[in-house]
Formats: sequence, C-alpha cells, structure tokens
Amino acid sequence: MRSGWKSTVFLLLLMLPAAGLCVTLEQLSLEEMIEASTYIVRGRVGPTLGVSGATMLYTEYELQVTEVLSGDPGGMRLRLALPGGRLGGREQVFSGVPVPIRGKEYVFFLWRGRSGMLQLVGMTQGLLEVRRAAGLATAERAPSDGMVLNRRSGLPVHDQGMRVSLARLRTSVAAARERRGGPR
Amino acid sequence: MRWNRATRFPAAAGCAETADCRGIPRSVSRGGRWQMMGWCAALLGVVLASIPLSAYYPFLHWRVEDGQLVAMPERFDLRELPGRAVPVVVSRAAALGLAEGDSWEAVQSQLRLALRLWSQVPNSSLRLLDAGEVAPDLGTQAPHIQVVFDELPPGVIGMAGPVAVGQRRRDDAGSFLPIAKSMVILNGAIEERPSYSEAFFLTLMHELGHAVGLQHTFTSSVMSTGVTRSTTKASPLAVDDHAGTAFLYPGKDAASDTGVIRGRVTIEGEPLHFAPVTALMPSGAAVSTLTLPDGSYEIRGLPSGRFYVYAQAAPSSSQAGLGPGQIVLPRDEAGEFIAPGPTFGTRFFPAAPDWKGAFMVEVQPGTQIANIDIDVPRQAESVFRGVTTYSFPGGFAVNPAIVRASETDRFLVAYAPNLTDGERVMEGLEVESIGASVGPGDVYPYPWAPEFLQVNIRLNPFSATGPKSLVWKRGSDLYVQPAAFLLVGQRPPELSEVTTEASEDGERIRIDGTELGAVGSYLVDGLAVPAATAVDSGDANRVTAFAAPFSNDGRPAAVVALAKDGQSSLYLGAKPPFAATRTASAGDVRIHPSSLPVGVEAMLTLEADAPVFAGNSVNVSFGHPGIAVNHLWKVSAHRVVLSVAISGNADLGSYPVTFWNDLAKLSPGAALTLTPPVHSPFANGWRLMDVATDHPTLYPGSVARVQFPDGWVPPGAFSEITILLGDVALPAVCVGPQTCEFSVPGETSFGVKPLAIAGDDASGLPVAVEIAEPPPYIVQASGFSRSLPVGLLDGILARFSMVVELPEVVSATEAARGLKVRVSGQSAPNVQATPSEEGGNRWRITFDLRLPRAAVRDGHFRLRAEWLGRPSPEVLVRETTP
Repeated sequence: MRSGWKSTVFLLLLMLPAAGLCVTLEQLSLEEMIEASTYIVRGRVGPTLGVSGATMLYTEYELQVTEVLSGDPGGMRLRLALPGGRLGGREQVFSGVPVPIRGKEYVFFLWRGRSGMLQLVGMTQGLLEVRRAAGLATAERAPSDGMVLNRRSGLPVHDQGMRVSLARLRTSVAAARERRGGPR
Repeated sequence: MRWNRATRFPAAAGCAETADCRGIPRSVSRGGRWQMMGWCAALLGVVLASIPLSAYYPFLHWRVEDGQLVAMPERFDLRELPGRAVPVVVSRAAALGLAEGDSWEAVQSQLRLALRLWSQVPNSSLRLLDAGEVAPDLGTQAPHIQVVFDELPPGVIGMAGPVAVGQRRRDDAGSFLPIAKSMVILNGAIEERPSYSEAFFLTLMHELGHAVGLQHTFTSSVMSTGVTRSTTKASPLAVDDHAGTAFLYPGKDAASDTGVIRGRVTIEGEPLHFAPVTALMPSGAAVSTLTLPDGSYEIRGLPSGRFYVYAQAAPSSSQAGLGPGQIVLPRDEAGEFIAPGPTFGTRFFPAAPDWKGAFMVEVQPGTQIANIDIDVPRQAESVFRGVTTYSFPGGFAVNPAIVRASETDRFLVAYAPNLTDGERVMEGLEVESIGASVGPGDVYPYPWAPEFLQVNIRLNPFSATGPKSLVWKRGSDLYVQPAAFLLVGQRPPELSEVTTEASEDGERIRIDGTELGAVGSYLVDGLAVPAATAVDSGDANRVTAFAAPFSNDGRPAAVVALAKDGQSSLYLGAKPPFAATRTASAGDVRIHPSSLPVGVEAMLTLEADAPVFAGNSVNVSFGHPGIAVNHLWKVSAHRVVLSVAISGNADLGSYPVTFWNDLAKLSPGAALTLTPPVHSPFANGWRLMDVATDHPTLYPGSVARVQFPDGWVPPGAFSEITILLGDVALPAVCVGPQTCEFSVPGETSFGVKPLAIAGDDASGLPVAVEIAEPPPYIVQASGFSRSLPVGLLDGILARFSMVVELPEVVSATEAARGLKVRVSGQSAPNVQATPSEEGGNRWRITFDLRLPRAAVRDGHFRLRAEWLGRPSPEVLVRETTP
C-alpha cells in the first residue's frame, strides 16, 4: 500500500489550472421545486454540446426528453447549461453543481431565466435520477453535503436528499398545475 | 510549500513512538498528565521550517519539482496589486428583489463591512478594498474580485471562487498560482434574506472567503459547510478562518505570533489521504486541515494554548470529484481525482478513542510541534453526518445555539439524521461537553418537535463563557463538534425603542433597550458605530445615542446591536427597528490632479463646495480595480486627501470618482484620467519610512529614509537628490546604493503634505505623507528571564518592566486600549499600563511572557511599544537571568 501511494504521489503533475468554485443552495421542497420550474421533464442525457462563457464557464448537455411533466419546452431535445467545464486552458469545477452522466435517465426541474439558458432549479436539487426496481419507478437524489440554507430562516440545514415515485411526482405536478389554474 | 522526501521522516523521537509517553498511567491526574504531555512535547518541539506543508483548505494544485512534491494554492499575488490590497468591485446584473426597507445602498454598506472584517484578520496581510461599482461585463487585466448580484436559478443563493488563475509564481511563502479574477455571484432575489440579516451577511462573508482562495472546513467557522457553522454576524470569523487566511496571506508576524502542529495520520499503519485533522482547545476554538496523499498534515496559525488533536472522518461527498465537505480533490497525472482514504473511527492523539484519554499538545507562539501522529482504525461511515444546534433566545430558532449561564433550564436543541426516531433517543447515544457537562437523563427528544433532540447543559466550576464543544458517541462511533454552542452571560441586546432626535450637533439616533452595556458596536445598515456608554433610563432599561449617519435622502436605516459575546439584537427580533438618517449635502467636487499615469503612487485631493465629507466614514473609489485608495485623510467636511496606487496594468481611460459619505453615495462627476506610464526614476516603487520606527508616518525633527527598489538608478547618477516636502526643499543624503535619508525640519507643521523626489532634471509625482506628533518612546526597560522547566517546551519565561512615554495625555482606559507591546516580534497579550511615578505622559508596563529561546538574539530582547498603530523605536534589552 505504501509503495502504491508513493507511486501515485510522485506521478502527480500540475494539470490545467482548474479553478474551484463553491455553490450555496437554498433548500426547496418538492412543491417549491415544481412551482419554480419552467419545465419539468424526464429524459436521458445525451452528448455534451460544448463549453462557453467568458468569465464563468457553462457546459451544455443535450437532453433527450421522453416525457414532459410540466410546461411546453417546444421540442424533445433540449440544451441544459450547467456551471463549470473545461475550455482552452481553463477549467472550472463547481461544488454543489451536479454532473449528469450521459445515457442515464433523470427527471429534470428546469428553469429559464433572462439569459435564455436552461438551468437546473436548485442545482443538485433539480436533478433526480430515475431508478426502477420491483415494478416501481422512482426519482431520487442523495443528500447534498454542501452549504444548504433554509429558505425562510436562512439557517443552515441538513439536506435530506429526495426520493419520490414517478407516479406521485406526476400527481404533485398535476395538482400544482391545477392550483395555478390550468396547464402551463 | 515543499515536501522533501529526504527530510520528511526526521529521526526525532515522538510521543507516539515511545513507551514513556504511551505508558502514562490512567491514575495520573489531568494536571499531571498535562505536565507529562509537556515533557513529551519538549521532545517533540522540533522546528522544521525547511519542510512546510500545506493546509488543504485552499484550492490546491500539485507539481513535482526536482523529485519533490510541491503543493501550490491559488491566491492573489499581493505584490502586483495596487496598494497590496485586493480590489473588490460590485455590479448589478439584474434588478434586485428587496425586502421592505432594504436598498441597494444598504446592500453595498454590508459589503463594505464584510470587506473590512476580512481585512482585519490577525496575522494576515490580506486587505480587501472597495474599488467601486462597475458594469457586470467588466473586462480588465487588473486582478480583482467581482461581486455580482444577478438572476440565478431558484434555490441557488450564491456561488463563488477563483475563475481565472495564472501560471506558477513564487514568493517568500512558496509557490502558488496567482488568482487573476474571482467571482462572487449572489442571487439578487433577497426578499427572504434582507441585507441586514444574519443569513445575508454570513453568506456574503462565506462567499468572499471562497473568492480569496479558501475552501470549506469542518470547524464551525464561517467557511464551514453549513450544518456545523457557528459564527454570527457579531462574531463572523472564527480562529479557523483566521488560520486559513493567515496561511494564504501571512502577515509579517504570523510565524512569530502563532504556532504549528504537524504530523501524520495512518490507517492501520498505512498513510491516509484527505483525513480531517483538528486541533481543538477546551474553550472550543478549533483549527483543522486535511491530510495530504502521504498522510502528512500541518495545522498552522494556532494561538497559544493547549490542544486536543484528533482525526475524524467526514461524510463522503455525493458529487464526483469532490471530497468531504465538497472540497475539490487533487488530481493525478492522468487528470483523475485522487480519492480520499477509507472511512475511519475518530482517534485523539496519540491513540485514544475518546477525548478523556487524550494527551494535550501545548503550542507556544513561534513554535512548531512535529510528530503528532495518529493511527486510526477502519470503521464504517459515522451515523453522525454533522449535527446542527439551535436555541430560542427570542420566539424563533437561532444557530449556533446560545446557552445562557444564568438560566435555570439551560438547554439546546440539536438535529442530525437519526438522533431520534421521534419517540426515543437513538439507542446507545451519549452526549458529552468539553468545557461544560451533560448529565445522565439530560438528553431526550425535544417535546415540541421530537425529531430534534433536547440537550440540557450543566456547568462546572471551570465553565467560562465562550464557545463550547460537544462530543456525540454511539458505541465506537464518536463525533466531535467544535464550538457546538455559545455559553453567554446575559441575554441578547434588545432594542425597545429607536428614534432619531434633534440635538445641538445635528440629528442623533437614540436607543432605548436592555443589555446595552454588552454591546460592542451598532450597525446602521452596514455602517458600524462604536457603542457609547449606555446609562440607566429606569425600568432596567439603558439608553445611548450617537450621531445619525448621512444618507442620500434621509431614508430610514436598519439598526442592529452587536454584542461582544457574539449575540445580536436580531436574536430577539428578526426584523430590526429602523431609524431616520441625516440627508447628506450634495455639491461640486474638484479632483487634483485630474490625471495620473499608470504604475504610480500619488497624492490626490478632493475639494468640494459643500460639506459632502461630513460623515464619520468616508470611502472613495473610482470604479476600476486598478486604482486603489490606500489611505484617506479627512482634512475637513469639504476636503479629503488620498494616497492612491495605480496598477501598472490598469486600463487607460477616465474613471469618475464615487464616494460614500456614511450611507450616502455621491457621484459628483469629477473623474480621474489614467494616462500612459512615465519613465522617471522617482515615479514609483520607492518606500518612505521613519528611520527610528520603520513606519511611514513622519514627525518634526525625525530622520526619514527613502528606499528605492531593486534596479534603481544609483544615486551617483545624480548630482544631488532633493526632497520636496510641501513647499520646502530638503537635501537628501544617500547612504547606500538604494537608500537615501533626509531630516524633517523641527518646525514642520502637522498634517498631510505632498512629498516628491527630484534629482537633476528628473522628478516624481508627489505622494501623501502624514506629519504627526512624535511616536511613543520606551524610556526605560528591563527584562529578567529563566528557562522553563522541562515539560513546557524549549523556551523561556521572561518578566519585562518598561516605561513608555506617549505623545499625548490620555486616560487609563485609553492607555489600556491603545498601547501595545511586542517583544522580539511577538505581541504581548493583556498588557496592563499604570501611570508612571514620573508623571506626565509616562506609563509603566510590567508583564510576563513565555517566549521561544530564539526570541533572544545576541543576548538581547527586542522591544517595541505601539500607540494607536504607531510603533516606537526599537529598544534592545539585555537578557538578565536571576
């Protein structure tokens, strides 16, 4: 073991100057996530479409949508932008920003702001992995161990992660739509 | 930072390796054990300055140089920054969502407060400078931090860190990657987190910490990941924040004023990577780090005292590429992240599973304690994924928990997953407190919310107020929570009535309330006002008053009282009272000179036709990170003098001056134009200081030194060099290839004056220099010392007696507040001054100080007194032994 770590240590080299950034999140309930989303879709992550940005880098991922739970995204192939990435000689790594894995199926809580980019609501909170077991499909994510604050008190809180069945998620989204008075 | 394989494993005996140290019988009393530990520490006290390692909290990069592993942090290169300060600019990229009574001006005042606090970290040279408001798409080569309020996705409060770093550089502290730009992006929707709130301010402090290069920590500091953070708006930075900042940006006295613990963490004998290691004082102050891939660690910046040292696993990250606490992992040559070591059980130095069986390590300023090695066992991930504590001093929860010593039912409420099942406490759970007590039956589900835990706190005779730690145990699973709660002596300050009233000196803010005697300062928005004495007003209330700050329109501003013990009036009312401010004058302002070349330091004067500088706090900026206002002297309400530094890579152009008169923001239209650099040997780079005190403030009759930079044209190239001090030409005598000296005439009047250097046909721009009263003088001093007995490190205990003459007549309170002493570079804490029997402005000071042997050089101590930041000439005192 010792020789192992030594060989590892001495193989270390300076990589591209990778800048690290940290994200502070506000804890959102499922209902708040639904309310805040422009679109909620289920689908798979396609290829990375590129990295752009002058100061802050954003990596764009193709989303291959298989189900639209809320909103009208206007197509079944979307572009999701997430902070971070590698461009030229620069790399930015964000803690608190998830890295979707190509080919995996997720539920995406998407938000489109003034910039026009589609981003995740609550970053790690807005990406739930779809899992199927014993005939039950769930959307879930692990607790975040980063900085998460309560929305109203501003106090730091324990993020509990999330696990919800797709059926209950559809029901919750439909109920929210109804509360808002019709399809969105 | 350099890790030298050849010298990494010194042959010095360590406690962890010797039977004598391990074999301390359990019957030894605590004091006896401390003494034994001190004896062990004496063996371990090895100064290893040649192999500095790194704390992991910076963003680190790795490189192999000459067979040595070099860890390089990202940090600003202060040498290239104007005025050696990091410029911070602020932008609005989207409209703000503000709470009632909040404003953009109030937000900016909180930012200035945060910059000031990060600039006052002990033993650090970091200074953050308000460089003004800029467009969001600022493009410049001048290094800086940009704070942007923007539209972010819902659920995202902010993100921060360096976004551009340069190629490797080296300075006295080692190799590093210079930050070219850091961003702090905050969600502009702050209706739920108004600018006056604890949440807004602590988030701002946290994100600025990332921007200067700090990552997350595990020690209840402002840089903690959240659940264990225990800093407050009244006391926003913890010792760990100080240590991390001083590591990246060490002050000149950092090495002599603080200590170092280093060692190695192994898991069943093998090196353990990325293990959190913490040095914890019984008082609750803690500093931590992470081990390097070889298991080594180093904790710098420790204050004097005794520490438990323990290694404790942190929850692994759910995100690829990140370690515990979402700290960015280092990478190997293939670009792959180097994974943290396996999870393990907590162990205290040297091998104790519990703090009660631990040895304490004694740290003295200027010493480095090596070989504090800990071997930990493999163990499944802890059930304790961090614990958050709350209390309810008002009608709502605050964090960290505040426990009042005088209360009969002292308790806090804690939360972590699985502490209770809603009815019963987790089976086998035990809670202890370091510094207080938790008895049997003191832990049970909180009746009002049984998913939380109520923990009753008992006091013992040694329970002093301050932060206290908790230890959570379940079987072999142990979790230490530094500064888990704050033990206080009184309730938070309560502001029952805040009014703005007329007085002879203009409007003032009058405050009625309770516990005002414990208030250290008041905030009016983000403007800090020192607390004046509060007097009885009946019914247990006190009353105090201070001049109402200026604002643009007399708008009401939030008033918050910050207590010295870390509490604030926000603990009793989340929405503070508001008080009307004074409407500031507006007027035309002239700037002289109106243009300066880049790459110089120079004096600027702003003159107004109205009292636009009437406030107690005046800040000037130019909206460009390449222009730094190093110093501002307020001459009158109509006139201020600035010392500005212009970066060599500042962008040419015209930059309008903006200034803050308290909370009033004024942009009068005057501008400073930056022109191409000039090539004069006297234009920039030289330093001016008083010969006797090494301080830039001069006084009538003093001798001043001009120190020219490396590569400067030698004085022999000029037939004569003249100093122009105001209108007076003074001959300079060059005493070395880069050093000239001149005498300040005894009749020179006090005040800020322009000073320029000329030689033959060349001359430089005038800089601002302050002519003030003479500095303090040590008129008599003696020092007796004796070697400390074995067990108290390799040091000496010295008693000093000195008489200091101050430049002015002051009260005993003022003397105690403003007089400081340093011995051989190390500050003497708690200096008490009494009027000297000789009378006048002379004060006698006697104090004891433990010093490392290296503090005596050629048989002498070096003593310097300091009055309000101005040092005295250094005095050598011969060491005398009884």
